[in-house]
Amino acid sequence: MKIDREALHKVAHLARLEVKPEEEAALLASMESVLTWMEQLDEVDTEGVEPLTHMTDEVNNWREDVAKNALSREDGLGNAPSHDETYIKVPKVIE
Amino acid sequence: MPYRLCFCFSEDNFPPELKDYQTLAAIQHDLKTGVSTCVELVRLYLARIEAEQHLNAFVEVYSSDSLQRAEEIDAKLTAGTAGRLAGLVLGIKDVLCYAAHGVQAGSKILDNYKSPFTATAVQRLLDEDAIIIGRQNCDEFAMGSSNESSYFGVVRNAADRARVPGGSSGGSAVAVQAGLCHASLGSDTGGSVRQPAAFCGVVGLKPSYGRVSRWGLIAYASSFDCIGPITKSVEDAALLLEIMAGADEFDSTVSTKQVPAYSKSRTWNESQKVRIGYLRESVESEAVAPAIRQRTLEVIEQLREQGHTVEPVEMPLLKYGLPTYYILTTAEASSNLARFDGVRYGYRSQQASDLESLYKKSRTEGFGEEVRRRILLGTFVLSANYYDAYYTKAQRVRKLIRSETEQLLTRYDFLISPVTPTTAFKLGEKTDDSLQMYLADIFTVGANVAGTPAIAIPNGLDENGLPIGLQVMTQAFEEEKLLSFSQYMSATIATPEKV
Amino acid sequence: MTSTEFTPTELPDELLEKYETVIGLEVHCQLLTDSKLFASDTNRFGGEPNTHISPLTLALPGTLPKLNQKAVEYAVRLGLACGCDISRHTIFDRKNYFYPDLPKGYQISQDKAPICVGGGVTVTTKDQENNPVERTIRFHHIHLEEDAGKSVHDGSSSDTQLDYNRAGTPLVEMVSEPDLRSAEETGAFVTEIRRLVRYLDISDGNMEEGSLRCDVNVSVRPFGQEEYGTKVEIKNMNSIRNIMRAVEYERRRQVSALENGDALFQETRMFDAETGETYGMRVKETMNDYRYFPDPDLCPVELTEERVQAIKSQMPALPRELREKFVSQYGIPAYDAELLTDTRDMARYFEELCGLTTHYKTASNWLMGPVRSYLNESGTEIAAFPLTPGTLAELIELIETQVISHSVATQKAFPALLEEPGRSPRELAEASDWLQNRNTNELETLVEEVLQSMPDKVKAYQKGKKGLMGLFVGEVMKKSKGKGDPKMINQLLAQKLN
Repeated sequence: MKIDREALHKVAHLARLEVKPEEEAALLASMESVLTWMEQLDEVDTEGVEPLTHMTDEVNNWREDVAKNALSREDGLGNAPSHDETYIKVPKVIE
Repeated sequence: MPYRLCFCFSEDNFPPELKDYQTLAAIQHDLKTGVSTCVELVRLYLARIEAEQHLNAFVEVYSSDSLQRAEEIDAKLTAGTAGRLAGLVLGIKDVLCYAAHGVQAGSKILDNYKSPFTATAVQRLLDEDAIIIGRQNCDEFAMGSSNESSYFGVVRNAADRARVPGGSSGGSAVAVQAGLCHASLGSDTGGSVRQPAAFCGVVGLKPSYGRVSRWGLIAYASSFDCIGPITKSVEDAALLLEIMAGADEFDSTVSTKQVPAYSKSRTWNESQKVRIGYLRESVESEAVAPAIRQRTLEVIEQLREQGHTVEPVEMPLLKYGLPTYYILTTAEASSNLARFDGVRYGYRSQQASDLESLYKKSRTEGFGEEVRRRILLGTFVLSANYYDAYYTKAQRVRKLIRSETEQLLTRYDFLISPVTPTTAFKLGEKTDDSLQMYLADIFTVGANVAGTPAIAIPNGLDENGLPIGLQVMTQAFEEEKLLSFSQYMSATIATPEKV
Repeated sequence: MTSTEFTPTELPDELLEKYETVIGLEVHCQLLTDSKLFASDTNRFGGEPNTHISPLTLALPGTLPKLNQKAVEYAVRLGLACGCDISRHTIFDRKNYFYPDLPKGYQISQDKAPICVGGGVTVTTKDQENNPVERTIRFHHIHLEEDAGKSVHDGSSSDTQLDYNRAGTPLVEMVSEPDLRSAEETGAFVTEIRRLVRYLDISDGNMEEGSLRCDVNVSVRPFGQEEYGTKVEIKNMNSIRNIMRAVEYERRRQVSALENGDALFQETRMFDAETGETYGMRVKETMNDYRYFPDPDLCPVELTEERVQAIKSQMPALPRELREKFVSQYGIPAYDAELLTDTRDMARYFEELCGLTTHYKTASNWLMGPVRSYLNESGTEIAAFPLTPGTLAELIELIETQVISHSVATQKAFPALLEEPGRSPRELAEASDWLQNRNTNELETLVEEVLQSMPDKVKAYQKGKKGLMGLFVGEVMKKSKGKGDPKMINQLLAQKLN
């Protein structure tokens, strides 16, 4: 499957990854070869076959509605790169 | 015949005190008879880890923690209150959460991250008094077959330091191979427990999908990931599985099926003959190394001599297992790894000036090349225009592969094959061509695609003294049978000492 | 020849009336479960920031979701109440996008197999002759999904602050078909939904607190055209009044644009409550590709007939059912029934009352009149109303059997009872000497006295000033110290005057 620069950058943006200009060619080439290789699946006749969406046979694996706060605020914020006593912080979001 | 693991040590630098224990039972015997103590064991393992640092199997060693635990457990042993795993010194792959300890999935993006909770599987082992000696190096986010993509550097095979140990649980396999701990806990998504086990000459078990809770396992591909033990003996793998397995309130996909007492399975009855299928291509294809083909054929012969029916089988869909695996795992991974964004934990780029650059720079700087490539591939196959052609198609093929496998396993008790097409390759040999690397998983992915359990057991050495593995697979949730038979095989058939 | 440029506010009615407004809504409603949809943290409005959290809510590595059974039950209740098909097999999908208030980088929602399909809600509006018009507004589906956290913008700093208390809260999203045709109808629709979720006890439906939010899609097309016009989305509306204003403005904006020959873009707009106008977002929004796929960390939900029936049998009665019952069984007017079923608690109170007295209309009047005034003034809800249905029923009986007059009841007895809620009205009336004087002879004497004291007024009345009757009644009442039965007084006066 051939993908162009534009498609690559669109996908990179969706994934919030940067692709530097000097990396583009190699990345396009390796992705194309993998995608083409993936297209082997077209050889398999899947007419009338349902997609396998869940690997487990389990259904209704739910829990009772009981409240429990498993993390203190301190522990929750402690791993954050930028935070104060109350909030986790990020650079201002421009609306 | 006990399998000697320690190729790495010459006579003079082999620490004489640490015996080459094959089973936990043997260790517990020594503890009971006062020949050793947990503290002594831990000290000796710590010394070995130190001596073998260049293997780079461990990311972090919990020296004081484990010694303290050892003291506590020695006290419990004296009091007669010790758990079933007292005396077990265990390493865990750097994808398993352990409260108050760092976990990074071999990645820079989780620098400085400490997990506040413990994985269910790990907790269950701790509850039985296992001692965790450290976290083990692995391919970044478990994506790899050689342990060459870790942020913490490559791991080396103790049989030949210029070669890879396999991946992604490379550190975990080497640790057992080189006697740096008694057993390891790894994860297997496409072969990541079995393939390094084969490359390192140890036992690696991938249970059925859903047999063990995934709570606390850093997710790579949710419908493929399995936690599995890497051990020296099948007996130990059975014990660890029994303790870890079963329903868990935190995991919605774990099976609620009863857990048999795998460790108490009766030894395989010699008079019970089974039907075994082997992949025809695996012993005929040029792509499989001659030594591996030969050893596999020898096993087949021996099994026949024992009276079992061993027949070649065709699996026409086998080769489609790999592209199916890569489409689905990259897709799931692209979503599972979206949480690593520099906001709530882990690495945040200093170059970030606004939110967009915070995301993009943190993720681009934090993730390694292979991970970035797979995220891009996964995002691509899920994107609107290609979803049906790749993702849905792969799910349909997965269904067919699972049926084909299930069908075969109604006709045969077990399916056997080599674990890998080659023995451990040289460091750097495959890193330039990702596709070449992916093809190394050909025999192992099937079990992940179908969700069936499979075990890798040692099956001799090749002409360079490199370990060869044999894979045995059976029907989902039939681990009891699998473990019993592979233990029997280990004892009676696989003759590792072929030099 | 100059061409006229139309603006939204200066648009001739004839032009406006050429176009049909087409409106669809996506209503998000927070469920009143104790814990979140997939995590066990507390689900409650307010609370100190970042105190209702857990490893799962923060999307720490290694965490997995576990579905809250109660949320499923609430969604089924809603579906049953709206006449939806309850899906026997329903699954969750991941909706992938990046935003700081979305910890996992995806929202667990439903895409392929939502829990409820179809269904709808009936709304009543008025036509041009002020006659009630009923229309059923259909749903496309209703699904479950988790809410996001909150971004807090601190004006001073260059940072955005993140509070994850709300992250993972259970939501039902009701997606309507584009069936709505006016701002009024849209307002009635949201009002009915709000009433419904409160009736069902699944949400407090509080728009100010954000437990009920709407995204509104508006487009216009010339009457008769089948094709839909360009659709505009107005997000996060949180008051019914503003929804109606926004719809009205947007309709006009779109019509004037079309009449001016300008292009309309499919876009997201925001509503400015100050100006009453919608405006486009400054930053051009790139169309997001959410890459929905079934969440492999969750298993399907299978709802058997038995389970659905069990949920149905435990459901409270619905406003519509109660309205019909009040009209047919208690014979009260539709208008009254509408008011009495405004909240479930009020309806319940009324029903209890009707179990204790057969004077249904009087009961209705009392609730709609004095009781409602009291509740409004004191800021109380009917659930906290001091008088029990029993007390009120007794009071009503006293009036209906003419033991006390209506005015004494409303002006004296009612306030007194509010002060001493436990007291028996009859006992209070007797103790306070409020019993109505129905002694014909006594009253006749008083009537005579009054009429004799104002002969000119009597003459004026007999000449045609009928309004003076009120004065006579008032005078007799004074003489009777307020205890005269007004009906009787009226009758006696009428006899004597005519």
